[in-house]
Amino acid sequence: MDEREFIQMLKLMLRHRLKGIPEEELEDILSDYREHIAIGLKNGRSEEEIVASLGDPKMIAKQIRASYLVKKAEDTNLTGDVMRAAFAFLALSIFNMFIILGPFLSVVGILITLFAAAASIIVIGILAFFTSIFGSFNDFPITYDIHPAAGAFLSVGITAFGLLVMIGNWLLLKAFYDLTIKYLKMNIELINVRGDRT
Amino acid sequence: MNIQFKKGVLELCVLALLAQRDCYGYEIVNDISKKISISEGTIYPLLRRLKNEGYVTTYLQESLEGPPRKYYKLTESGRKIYENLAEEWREFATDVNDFLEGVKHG
Repeated sequence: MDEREFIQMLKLMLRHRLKGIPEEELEDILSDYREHIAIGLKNGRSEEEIVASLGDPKMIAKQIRASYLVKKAEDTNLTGDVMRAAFAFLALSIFNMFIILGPFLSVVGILITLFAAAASIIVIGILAFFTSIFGSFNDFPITYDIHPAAGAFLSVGITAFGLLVMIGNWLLLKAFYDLTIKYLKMNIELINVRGDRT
Repeated sequence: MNIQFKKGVLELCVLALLAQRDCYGYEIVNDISKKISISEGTIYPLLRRLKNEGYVTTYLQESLEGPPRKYYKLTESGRKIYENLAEEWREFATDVNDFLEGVKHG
């Protein structure tokens, strides 16, 4: 193969493999090889030898095509990913609003109720203790007509139970808090993973 | 040798050459093909890719014998990527050499 054949072949292959390649781009690629062959000839190599060492025009075209495809994918991916990230964020917000907000508020409500209940039990226990010792409020429902000592023990038990419930509530609140943080983090990661893939 | 591996090494060699001085295409191809057996035509697509990625720029310079030649010049980001790649290569080569030494002695 001589220079003319090589250039012709390469042009054909590039046109074939890179459909719609701009004419000036094509000329630029070919001019690199023309320059290479010209300098080789000046250095005393034969045309045949230079062209042979350049390799198969088909392979060269394939290689150029590969790097073009990567570039194209990168270009389209950038805008595509921004769109996808924006969409993901929107979708997640809507999802959070309708699907997660309801259960979230219910759990918050239940937690508040549990805390209130625990606080009430503790207060009742303390009140019952004092009424059974001092007998001042004789009509207090729990310690009403039982022995003051039994009433005192009972009220201490009630207070202790209230404190236990309070501790349990505290653990529940912590677990719920961790879960919420984890869920938010997951959301952020989900968006990042989609957005960062360039 | 593995083709992908060779391609990566080829890129590093081209960057190393350009880190020393600006070169025209034929020079790069000639210097590299003296040591590494490749199809010489594959260097140009590589140069084109490096240019597209902004690691090299090109300029034309008159030559004493014949038409102007296209010179390739490493950009700032090209120099950075070259230094990173070179460092990676050195670590990699040291690790591989350690294995080879281990085989020899053990």
